[in-house]
Amino acid sequence: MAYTLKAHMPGLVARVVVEPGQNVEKDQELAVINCMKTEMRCLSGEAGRVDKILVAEWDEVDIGSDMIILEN
Amino acid sequence: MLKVVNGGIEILVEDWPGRLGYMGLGMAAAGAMDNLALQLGNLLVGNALTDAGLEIAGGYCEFEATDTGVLALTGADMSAALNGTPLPLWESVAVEKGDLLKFSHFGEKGFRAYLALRGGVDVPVYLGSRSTCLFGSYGGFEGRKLAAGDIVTAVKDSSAAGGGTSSVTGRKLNPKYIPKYSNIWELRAIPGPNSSPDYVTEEGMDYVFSSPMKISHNANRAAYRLEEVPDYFWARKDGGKGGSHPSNIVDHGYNMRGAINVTGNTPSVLIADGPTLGGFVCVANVINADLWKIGQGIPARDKAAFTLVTVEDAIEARKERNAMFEADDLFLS
Amino acid sequence: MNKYGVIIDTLPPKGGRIEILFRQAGDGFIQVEYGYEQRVELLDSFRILAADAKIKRKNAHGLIETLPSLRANMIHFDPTVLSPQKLIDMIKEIEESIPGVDDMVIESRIITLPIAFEDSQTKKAVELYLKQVRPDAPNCADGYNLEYMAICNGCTVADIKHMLLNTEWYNSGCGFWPGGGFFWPLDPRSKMNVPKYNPPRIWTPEGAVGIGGACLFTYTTATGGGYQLFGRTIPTFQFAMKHPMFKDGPFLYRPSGDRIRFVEASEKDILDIHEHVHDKTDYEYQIEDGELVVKDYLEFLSRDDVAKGAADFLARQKEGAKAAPRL
Repeated sequence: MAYTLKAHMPGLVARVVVEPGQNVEKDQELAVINCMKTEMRCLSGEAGRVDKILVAEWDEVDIGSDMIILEN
Repeated sequence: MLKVVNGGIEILVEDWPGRLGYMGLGMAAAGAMDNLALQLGNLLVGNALTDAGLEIAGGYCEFEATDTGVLALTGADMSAALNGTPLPLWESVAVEKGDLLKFSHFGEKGFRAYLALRGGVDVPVYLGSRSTCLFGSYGGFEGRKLAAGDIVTAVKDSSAAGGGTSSVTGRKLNPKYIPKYSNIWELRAIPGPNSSPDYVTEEGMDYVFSSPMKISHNANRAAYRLEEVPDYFWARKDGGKGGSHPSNIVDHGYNMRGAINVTGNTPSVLIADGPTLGGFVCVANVINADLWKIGQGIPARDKAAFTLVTVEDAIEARKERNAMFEADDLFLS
Repeated sequence: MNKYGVIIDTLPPKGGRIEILFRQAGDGFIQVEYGYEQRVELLDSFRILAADAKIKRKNAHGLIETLPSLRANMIHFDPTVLSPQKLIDMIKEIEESIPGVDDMVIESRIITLPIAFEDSQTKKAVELYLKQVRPDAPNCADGYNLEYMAICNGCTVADIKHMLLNTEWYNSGCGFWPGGGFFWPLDPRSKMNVPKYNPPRIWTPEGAVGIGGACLFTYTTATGGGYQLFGRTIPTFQFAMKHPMFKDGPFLYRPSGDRIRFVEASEKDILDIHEHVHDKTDYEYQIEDGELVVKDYLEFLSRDDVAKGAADFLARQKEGAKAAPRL
C-alpha cells in the first residue's frame, strides 16, 4: 500500500522536513507550504516509510499536487 | 451558537464597511474581503447589511452548533455539509444544538466563504467595527483567527433576533443575483493618483489594463500581490527625493482599499488590512463595487484583469449595488 | 487629457502658495498634492495641516476621512453623497482662505516624553537582529545604533543625544503602524540623517525610539521596523484603552500637528511609567495645548545662530556620510 501526501493549499514549498527511508507517524509534519505569507504545515494522513519525495524547496504546488509518497 | 471544532486555514470575524475614519492614525479599514457575499448572507438571515459574519479562507474547518439558530452560507463553494448532507449556498438554514457543519476546501472558483448568523456575530465593537485586523492583531475575536474550542455567539438584542426564526428560514437568493465567479477576475479600475504621463508611460498603463496578471502565492488580507510589470512601465528614471527606484515617492497616504500599489516592479492590490501610507506609487484604484472580487482570487492560480472605467461608471455601479440589495425579487418567495 | 490623465483640477500658485493639484485616485478618493516636485519641506506640511484642520471642521456630509502626509492629503469620501467636484470646490475655497504663511497657524500640542538612552530592551532588539537577521551589520557595533548614527552625521554620541533632546519634533501625520507618528526636528541644527536597516528588523520593543532618514518614530507596539535605535520612551498607544488618556481611542498622538520633546530619564523611570500606564493606569501625561505659528517659526529659522549652526552641521554631516559604512 502507498499513501500520497497531497498539497492542501496552493503556494510554494518552503521545505520538506523528512528524508527518503525515514519512518513517520500519522499527523507528523512532512513538509511546509508558504501561502498568504504564512507557513502552513503539511501533516501525514497515515503512518509509513518515506518512499519518494516529489517536490523541492520553492516548487510551486496547487491544491491536490502530489508531494511525498509513503509506503505502508 | 457555533463552536469551532477545527479552525482550518483562516476563519475571521469581519463586517462591512469595516473600521472607517482611522486611516489618518495608521489603522486600515479591515473588513470583509468579499463584502458582497457577507452582505447577501446577512440579508438571507434577516440581518442588517453592516452585521458581522465569519470569513472562511481556504476551508478545512468544522463547527458544532451549541444552540438553535439560523445561518446562511455564501461565497466560494467549499463542499460544506451539515450532519453529512450537502449544505446549499445562498440560502438560510435552521440549525439545532449538536449539528455538525464541516467544510472541505475551496474548489474550482472562489477562495472565501462566509457564514452569516441570524443576529450577527457578537464580538466587542472596537473603534466602530467588529472587523478583525489580522495584520495588527486587533478587533474581531481577540484580534486573531478562530481556533478549535472558540465559541462565537450571535448578538442577542439585535433587531433581527426578535420576531422568531421561521420568517427567514429557507429564504433563497434569486439565482440571477448570485455573483459570477471566475478564474480571471475582471476588476474595474480608475487610474490615479500616480499615472501617465508623469509616473508611468502610456504603454505601461496600457499593459496594466490589457494583461491579466497572475495572483501570487503571497496574496493575503493586506495585499494581493500580482505578477511583475515590464521595465517600460516607468516614465521616470528614479524616485527623486523619494528614493532610487522609479516606484519610490515621498511618503503619501494610500487610496486604500483598492489601491494598485507598485513596489519595485511588483504591483499589489492593497485591501482590508493593507498599509495606509508609504513611499510607493499607487497607479490606480479598483472601484468600490468590485472590491469583493479581489479576495475571491485564488492565490497562485487565478488572475486579475483590470478594466479601465470612469468615476461616473463607478458611482453608477455603487448605486446599482445599493438598488440590488433593495430589489423586490432579491429572494425567491 | 489622455485616457490615463488624473489631474482633474488645479489651483494656480498665489503669494507664497505653490500650485495645488487635485488627482483622481478612485471613486472614493481624491489626492490633493502640493506642487509637482518630490520634495521634503516642512512648509508644505504646515500648509496641508492648516487646510486639513479646516476641511475636518466643515464636517461635510459624505467625507469619511483625510490622510495627510508631507506633501499630499488623501481624501476618502462617499461619492454617492458628496460629489467629487463639490469636494474639490470646498477644498479650493479653504485654500483661498489661507493664501500665505502669515495665515498659517496650526493647532499643535507639546507632549513631553521621558526617554532612557541605551536601555536593555533596545539592546535586546539589536542583539536579536545580529543573531537572526544580519550578523555582520555595521550599524550595531556598540550594541545600539548610536555610534553608527554619530559616524553618519560626523559627530559624537554625546552630540546625537544632545540633538535629540534639544529640539521639538513635529508630527506631519500618522501611519505605517497604528498610532505611530512621523516626527521631524523643528530645529535644523538637530536634523540628523541616517540610512534605514537593510534588511529590516523582525522585532522592536514597544516604546523604542528610532530615526530613519531625517524622520523620528516612536514604536507604539512591538513590531518589525527599520529605523536606527538608541533608546526607549513611555507608551504612546494602548490597544486596551484602560488608561484615562486612552478612553476615547488607543492613540496618544492626534492625526497630525503634535510636537514631542524628550527629557532624559533612567531606564527604571521608564519601566515604572510603563507600569503606571498599562497596569495601574494612573500615570499623568505631560501635554500642553499650543499653536505653531508658522511666521514665528520662519523667523526662528532665519536667525543668524540657527542658520549658521544648521549650515555647519550640514557640512559635518556630508563628511560623515562619506565615512559611514553603507547598510
